[in-house]
Amino acid sequence: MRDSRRPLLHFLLIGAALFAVQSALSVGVDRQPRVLRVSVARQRALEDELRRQLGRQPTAAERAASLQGWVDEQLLFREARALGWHRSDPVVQLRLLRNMRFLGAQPDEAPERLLEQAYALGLDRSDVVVQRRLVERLRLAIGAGAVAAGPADSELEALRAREAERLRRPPLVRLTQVFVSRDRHGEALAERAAALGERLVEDAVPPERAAGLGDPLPLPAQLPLSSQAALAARLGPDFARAALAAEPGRWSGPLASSYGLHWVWVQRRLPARDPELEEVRPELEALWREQREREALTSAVAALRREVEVRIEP
Amino acid sequence: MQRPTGSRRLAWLGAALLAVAPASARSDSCPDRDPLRRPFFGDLHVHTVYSLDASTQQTRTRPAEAYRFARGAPIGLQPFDAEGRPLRHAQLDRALDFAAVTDHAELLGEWNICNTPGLPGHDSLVCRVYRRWPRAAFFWMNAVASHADRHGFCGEDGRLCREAARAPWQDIQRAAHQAYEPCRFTTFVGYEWTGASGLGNNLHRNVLFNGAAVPELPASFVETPSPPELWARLRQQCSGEDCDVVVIPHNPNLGGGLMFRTQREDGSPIDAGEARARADLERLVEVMQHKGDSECKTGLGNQDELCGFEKLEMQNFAARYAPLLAKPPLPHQFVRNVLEEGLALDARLGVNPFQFGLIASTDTHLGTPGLVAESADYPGHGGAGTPVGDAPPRGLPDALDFNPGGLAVLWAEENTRASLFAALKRREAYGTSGPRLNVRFFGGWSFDAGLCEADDLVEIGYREGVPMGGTLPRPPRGAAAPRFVVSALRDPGASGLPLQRVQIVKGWLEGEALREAVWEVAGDPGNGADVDLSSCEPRGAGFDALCAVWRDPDFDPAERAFYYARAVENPRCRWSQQLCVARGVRCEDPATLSEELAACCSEQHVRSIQERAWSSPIWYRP
Repeated sequence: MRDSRRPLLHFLLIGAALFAVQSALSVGVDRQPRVLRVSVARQRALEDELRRQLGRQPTAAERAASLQGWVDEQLLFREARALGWHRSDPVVQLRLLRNMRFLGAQPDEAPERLLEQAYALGLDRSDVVVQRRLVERLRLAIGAGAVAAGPADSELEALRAREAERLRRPPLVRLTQVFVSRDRHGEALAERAAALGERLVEDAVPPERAAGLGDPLPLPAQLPLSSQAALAARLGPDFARAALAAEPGRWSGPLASSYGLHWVWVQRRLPARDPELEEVRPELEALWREQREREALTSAVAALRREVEVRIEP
Repeated sequence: MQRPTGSRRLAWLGAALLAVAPASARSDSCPDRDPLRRPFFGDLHVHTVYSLDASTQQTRTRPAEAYRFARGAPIGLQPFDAEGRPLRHAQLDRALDFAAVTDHAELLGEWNICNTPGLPGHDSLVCRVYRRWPRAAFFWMNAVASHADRHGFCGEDGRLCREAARAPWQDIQRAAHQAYEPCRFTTFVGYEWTGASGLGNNLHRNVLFNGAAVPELPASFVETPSPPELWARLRQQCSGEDCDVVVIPHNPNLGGGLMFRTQREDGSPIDAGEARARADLERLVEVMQHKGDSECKTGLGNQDELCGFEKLEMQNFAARYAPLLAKPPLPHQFVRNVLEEGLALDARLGVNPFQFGLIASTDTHLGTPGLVAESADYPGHGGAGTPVGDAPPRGLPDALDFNPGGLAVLWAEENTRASLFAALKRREAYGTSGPRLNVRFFGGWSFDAGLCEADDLVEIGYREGVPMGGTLPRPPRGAAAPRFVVSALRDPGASGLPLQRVQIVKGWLEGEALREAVWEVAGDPGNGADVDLSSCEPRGAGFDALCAVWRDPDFDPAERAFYYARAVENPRCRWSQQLCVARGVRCEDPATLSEELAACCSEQHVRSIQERAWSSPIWYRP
């Protein structure tokens, strides 16, 4: 059983507890007005902001997007208030206390009383820090709620199919190479390599016995399972291409590398393959999380939009 | 339409209290794990849009894009047209094996506030200047940050800016975790602590964490205004099993000699405690990057002509804006001199605070890790260099003495965070000025003079000696002097050139005197190779592979010493000359020389470069 089931259990338990608290709290929460007015002054302010950001006149589409962004933020703010967070959130409380002291409240006044005064004055509705804090917290909560249970394997499978091309593992080879140095043999390089090849093939030298027959090179004679890119990083692109094409179980060569010529015995060749789910699980989970958070936020905002009528003042 | 139901709210609320389940752990090793280790190439100094000096230069690259770029994806670069389309593009010809985004910690929050309408401070004068005249804001905001100060809009104790730094810091972490693909591509979460001393003396350090456990907010110069305070805070924030951290200073060449202090502010000498705190965290130094080379300078303690390489002729960067302040560089701005000073401190304190391994990186402020080719397409530094205008530059994209930077190379068993971070910690690392040279360096007491002929050189190196970054064990009875084996292979890629030579650099403490010497150990300094400056065609032969076993002829077992290897390519055209040639400049024909390209023919223009690699040292303690 996978780990993600346990959070699901916790989630249900905590959810049940919170439901009780929530039911008790929501008595007395104001019903929200069903109309959201966007004043002319607000529209102008949004447009000015947009112009400053873009450094030019915004297009109609850009203006509409900015207005929608503002509306969505208001909707999330109201929703967070309906949850009672404007009263319970510690950051909001700190901010309100600071504002009250800034407004000249008695320094020795009890925090509880100061907070009551702040709510009475409506400071929690007008302060931009309070608003951003609550909106941000709600956004995070919506996202976290959508991913808390973790993905089902079937969802990851679907993602794996969608991303198959990007995830595909390249072909791999494991090989032994015997080296003939260009630095050492110069003009005689090809001749020397040919002689070595003759010996390897005629004497049927097995790869594990071939190590001492070539010139030294501070790279492994026995290269681990490597992709074409990994071979190119060690011996150059020409060698990598040729090694991937070499037939397993026999000596091939000479193959040119950036350092000279090589005889190669491919022990194993694995074709390109699609990875098992377990190999790419962390990556797919991250993708899934990102996608779910985005979808949850979009659908939550869409639901909130349906509940109000937005009136844009002419 | 229904009002939100209790159960819908419930789902949001319940989940808000839960941590996201950790990604499943992998304990099995990679299929290509090599117990004898192989070199992984990467870039550990990368800025993105979250660095204020990058965003004021129109950089828009986000951390996730920078990591995609490192893996080979194309990227669009500044300047952008009115529709937001990039006017320049770049792509690596070879992907990197690892990278770390290291944005400046200092102005993360300020960046967020100035870019997010509605955040308090967004309408402050500073932010308005930032949006309208980014170049002026670059100077203003960095000047304030370099005095460990905050702007008024950050509120009491800078709290608002600290809070606002959370979102960028989380995005940096998320991008690193999502781009990490064990066995194929490694990322580290990190940042740059951008400290300064006096009039712009650079104390900058990159901070890299080993895994997912990182501090809630990065400790910046504002909260920790000196290196010792940074180390103390990091040790407090990051300890135990989950969190480890290394600190990598960079650009001592612009530090006015203050980056590696041997005295405290009050003039008293540093003690063993401070030396230990430094040695614990500062395992490596970035020896070369966009803003020049910091290895050594000809004439400062040496007559090594190869030290005349990518030099910035100043004590600190203030001289770039106020040339009257320019003074000739000091010895303590260079790593070799500082490594020597470390020997003297070790003799006095019993601990060497300057036991640095060497790496290089880019310091790109365009979010383009690993874009290190000496190419006419070098897009510039994108930060403290020449600002980009509305159109791609017609002349040089950056100051003549800047360069495309280098790479960090780590010897590790496999491409995972655990394996690469362990390499950083043990300093089994080297730097290159760009090409992917393969350099091995071992020191020991019993190496055979014929070791270069052995097929098992590497096995013997590990078994009978220590690799780069290590300290020689005590000499066995009868051992007269240590032997070193160094092997260098040319860059196997299409852009690689043959090697010219390999040297070993020794620094030692003779009584109280700091001494240094450079030995030619392989190759041929007089091979006559050069480059045709009118076509940029390299000329002459060199070596594919060089190897030597070298015994220190002047070894005195009573003297502390360090040894490092330097492998040097044949000459090629520097990026600036490539560009001048590509634009058809011929200095003897004034008709080919436009105003933007005047620098091509200036006296300061160094036209060719010998790219190189610097190994981490191996130390000897009596």
